[in-house]
Amino acid sequence: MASASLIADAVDEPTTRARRAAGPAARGSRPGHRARERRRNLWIYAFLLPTFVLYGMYTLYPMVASYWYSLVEWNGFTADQRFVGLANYEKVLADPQFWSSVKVTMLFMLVVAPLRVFGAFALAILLNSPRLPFTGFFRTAFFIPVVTTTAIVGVVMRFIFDPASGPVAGVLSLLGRGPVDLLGSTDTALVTAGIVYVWKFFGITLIYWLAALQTIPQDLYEAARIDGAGGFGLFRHITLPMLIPFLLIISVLTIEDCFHAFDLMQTMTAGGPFFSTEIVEIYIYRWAFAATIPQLGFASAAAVLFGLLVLVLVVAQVWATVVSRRLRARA
Amino acid sequence: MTRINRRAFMGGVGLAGLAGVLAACGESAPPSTGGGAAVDGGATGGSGGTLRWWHHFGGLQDLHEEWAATYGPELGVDIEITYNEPSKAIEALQLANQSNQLPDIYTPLIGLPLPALVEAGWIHEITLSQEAMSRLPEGSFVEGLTMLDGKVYGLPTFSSKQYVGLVWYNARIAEQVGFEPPKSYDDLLAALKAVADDGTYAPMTMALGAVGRMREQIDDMAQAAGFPGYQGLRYDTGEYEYHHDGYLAAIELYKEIADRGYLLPGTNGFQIPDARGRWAAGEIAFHMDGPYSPGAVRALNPDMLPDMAVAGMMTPNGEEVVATRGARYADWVLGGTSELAEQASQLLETFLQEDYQRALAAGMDQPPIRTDVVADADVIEPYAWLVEEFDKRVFRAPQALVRNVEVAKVQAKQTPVSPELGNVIQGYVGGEISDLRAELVKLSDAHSKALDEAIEAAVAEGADVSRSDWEFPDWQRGTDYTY
Repeated sequence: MASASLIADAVDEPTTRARRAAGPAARGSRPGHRARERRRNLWIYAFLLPTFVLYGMYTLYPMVASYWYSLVEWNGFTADQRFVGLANYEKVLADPQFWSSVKVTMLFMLVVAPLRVFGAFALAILLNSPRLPFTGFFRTAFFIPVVTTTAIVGVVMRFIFDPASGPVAGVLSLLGRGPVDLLGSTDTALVTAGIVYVWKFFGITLIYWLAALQTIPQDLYEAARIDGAGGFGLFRHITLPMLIPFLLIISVLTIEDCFHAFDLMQTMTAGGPFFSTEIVEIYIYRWAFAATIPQLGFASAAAVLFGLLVLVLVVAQVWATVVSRRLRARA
Repeated sequence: MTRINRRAFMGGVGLAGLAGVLAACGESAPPSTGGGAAVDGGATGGSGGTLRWWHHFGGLQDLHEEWAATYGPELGVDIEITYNEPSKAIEALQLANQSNQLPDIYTPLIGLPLPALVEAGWIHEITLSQEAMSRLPEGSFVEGLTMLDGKVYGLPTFSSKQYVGLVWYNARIAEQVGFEPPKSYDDLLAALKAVADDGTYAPMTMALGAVGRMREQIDDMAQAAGFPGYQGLRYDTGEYEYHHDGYLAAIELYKEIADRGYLLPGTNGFQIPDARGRWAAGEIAFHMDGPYSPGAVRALNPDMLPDMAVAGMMTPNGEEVVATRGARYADWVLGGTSELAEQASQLLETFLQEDYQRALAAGMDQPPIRTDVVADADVIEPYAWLVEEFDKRVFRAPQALVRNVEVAKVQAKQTPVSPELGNVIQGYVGGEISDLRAELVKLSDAHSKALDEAIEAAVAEGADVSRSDWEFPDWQRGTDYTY
């Protein structure tokens, strides 16, 4: 939802500016106008209320609660919560397994985010071509994995990659290769999971790019064609520059999205073998729910730290893009 | 007639939705109320309310359904049974407790000791008649494990005399390939080699990805290989010694099996259902599993049951197994917030009846606490043999909690160690760990540190405990420990 609104904001920006420019003249000053506007706003807020309530209950409250839990020692079994200050944070930071899971998460993101962003970009260009037949079919085909249940995909993929009887093993054996345990080997498990993840969520990034492509006015292309521009010239001098602002938004959204792979990873590898696919979300889950005596305070501290790390990364990325844009403008 | 315009319609729908959301938020489903529909199974027995019964025994699902159907009407309650897969059961209970929806009867897989559970309100006293209690073998109810201040809080229904590091094999494959049931590590490797050389069947599988199950198996095998303690803790000195030769030998056996290519491809990541399901298909010669294997296999593929055979637990040189286990913890407890405690107690009391114990044996899960009923129960011969073996070879272990109930305060504060033994096994077998002994030394140190810290924290809160509570210098291998 947030991603859709960001894209919509980018698209609607000129219209909004035009409305602002019209100023008070457009608003009118008939008696009763303000009352009608208040009534209308009331309805707007009434419709938004369920979202506010649910968002507060299921997003804001758990976030605030996790900050509190990170400061207490609590096993979740008893009501006894002992305030320990920053001790949980110290323990998390001193745990090599936390850093190992951060490393796995970053590695995962570095592999899958570029594949999603640039792969989907290339495909969107192709699917946006008016000369390509069955574009509707292809768009649907690429989006179908997005709407399938992730946990089910994880379970099914375990069968697909089963080295004893899965179809991948069958193909490899036809090629004369012995059983290859792609999900059971520490060397290949993360990459295999990454490929499945890209396949599963590729459609979302594709839709972002297709939406961005729709914003390029057709008259620009027509004018360029009249001026003699070819296909590559159109892409190089119109499509690409017009899409640059979207690259930032889509990259940020995709990178942030790549940090949330819990359901797929948990069902496909559960963090194994030997922690090789243990992303931070699984590390947090393991301490919060899978331990014999859960450590909810410790797990919450890990969650808070990771949230901050992601925030820093996103802010740094936005800052770098803004700075580079300014430098380009000066040049 | 009043016309409803689009705005009014949307407004009405919105308000109705909002009212629904608020109503849903305001209603906290109280436990044990009447009229609830069964989720996974159960029985309708009357209007006395719905008694919710959770368990994690896969092989006993049919038995519990039948039991609910029989006793629900007798107790005047609807019984709603939910089966949770073992690895999910703790999480389910944790969430149920936090939302004030604990079941009336459940299997307490939670890592807290009984006194801590009682104090936290997780469990309720069980009212049992003296006559019912006397049906169990002497010493079945132990202060600190199932009783507190003379009151019963936990019901043991399974025998403490059991171990899980068992080698099961397919008798049909054994006959075709021509191997004898192994007793020693070398016997097992030779039998696996015979299967591999034959080439018709996969030699072995196990749940190598289920680190908890791996830990249990190696704990058992290490003890049989001479480790004078359990779960890494020596009985005599009270010190952790995961790097004992018994542990090294048992883990090296798994490594050898993997390195020689005897494991079904994919075994490294198998969870319990993966490994068991594949073995139950009948095309794999060996499988490591507990005594509950026949019950679980029957649920997957009943045709496999006649081919099931068990070689028992391997020892390095084929010595007789000597195992030591503490008194049984609670297998069943009554939910602390239950509003049907009386009916739940009555239902739990039926678990002590001979027909339940016999049915329990027939379920071929863990052996029933009354092992005398197994001989006459409808079980496969390997299961009956195993239970006999358990009776002969398992001795009573000393337990710090039994000697000093204050130890519960330490156990409640003990933080889990990670990576745990199961991870080390998986890492070593998979090749990620090269120096096993060094890793086990680290594991011993980590457990020791966790215990010391828990003792320190408990003492700071007034508990009367010390490290010496874990020392039993008078313990002797092959004898029942008495205090």
